[in-house]
Amino acid sequence: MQYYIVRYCLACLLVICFSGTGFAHRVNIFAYVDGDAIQVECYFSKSQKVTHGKLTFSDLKTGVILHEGTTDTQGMFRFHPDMNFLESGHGLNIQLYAGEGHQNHWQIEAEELEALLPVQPARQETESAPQPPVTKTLHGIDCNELEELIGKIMDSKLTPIRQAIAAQQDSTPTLQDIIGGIGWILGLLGLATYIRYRPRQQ
Amino acid sequence: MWKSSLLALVLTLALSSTALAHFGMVIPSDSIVENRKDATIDIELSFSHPMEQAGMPLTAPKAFQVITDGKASDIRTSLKPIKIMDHDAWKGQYTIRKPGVYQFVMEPQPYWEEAEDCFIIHYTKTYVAAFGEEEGWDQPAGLKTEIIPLTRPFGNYAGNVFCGQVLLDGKPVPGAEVEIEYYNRDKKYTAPNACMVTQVVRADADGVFTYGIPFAGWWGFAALNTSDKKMSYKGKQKDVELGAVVWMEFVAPSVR
Repeated sequence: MQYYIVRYCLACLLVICFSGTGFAHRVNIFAYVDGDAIQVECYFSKSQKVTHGKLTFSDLKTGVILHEGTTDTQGMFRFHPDMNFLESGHGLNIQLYAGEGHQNHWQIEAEELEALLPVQPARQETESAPQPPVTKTLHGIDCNELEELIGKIMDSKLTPIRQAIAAQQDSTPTLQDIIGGIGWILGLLGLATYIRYRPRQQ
Repeated sequence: MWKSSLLALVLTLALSSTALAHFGMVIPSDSIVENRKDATIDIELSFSHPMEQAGMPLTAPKAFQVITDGKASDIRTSLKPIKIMDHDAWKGQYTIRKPGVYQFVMEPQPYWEEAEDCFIIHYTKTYVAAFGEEEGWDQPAGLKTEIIPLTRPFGNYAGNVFCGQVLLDGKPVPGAEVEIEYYNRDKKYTAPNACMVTQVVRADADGVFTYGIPFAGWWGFAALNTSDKKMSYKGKQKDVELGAVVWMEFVAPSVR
């Protein structure tokens, strides 16, 4: 009898543990091209990640399964798609199974995956579409074109590295900070000068 | 004769101030982002009587920021001048790059309101939730005065009740008066009478107020306080109205 009570209590405890805020929410999946791979993040919320969630990567066009994997304890998974798939020019579908009733998916369009293809010299020769201007000089590009081009590049690169750069940019000193800093320097110099030349009592 | 015309003037002023509430406005193109292709958000900044669609000029805001994860970024440089309700207004743009709750916050330059003989500063904000992440919607933006939502400020149905707390200098404002208006785009609705242009509720002793949203669209909540500091206008010290304004979208369910 006592055994059953203990078991019942344990079951209740487990239910309470797992019915936290996270499980009340839907499950989320977010993926982006990051360097040489696709970074997948799975989460119920910021503070509750999907651990050991099953991921299935498939060709968006043909439905062929390319790879299967499991998220780590941080809800992360890194996928290196093979060259055959990348060269097909198809998009990618990522399906997440995080247990009964917890499924979601994310699609990455073919254009975003292009960033994973190695840069081929042939491409630069037959350049007709506005590719990233690696070999192009700035001559002959008007401001609007340049703005559009930069916008395109910005949009296609959504890596955390860029996020980190953006984050750092946020903390760059403003004009106010610089003027404030100069003020501090002048103030300290003034103080030093005063101490150096102050009238000494004999 | 003098007395009665003075009385009429006073009445007009009194009535017009209740019927026509000022609202700083920050309206994003979407309150929820689910797909990467929708991640670039346009944000319209203006100053108006939103129900009556009467605009006022908004000079270049003093600050325009996006706050996520407790970190603020200045996005003022994205602002371009546009016209909203035939008056000077601004349009900004921001591309959301990762999951999170994003608060877009505008601090305008003080606006001199001749009719009310005071300056108006409306600290105005709105929320955009991206890629399924919802945590952090209850975090203050750290403004001089603001409404802290007690109801999640996105993903709400029309008919839901919105609950919020009014803060001034980080402290609750007991009995704060909150004015509520609908953003009456294209003059879709007409108020049956002048009293119904602006809805009014008063906060309790903890600065907490509640309002049930009657129909779908963007709704603005403005909690108004008078600053303890005065500002000079033509050499005279004048009151400064501080508004804590929040805009939220309330949506009708789709029918299959």
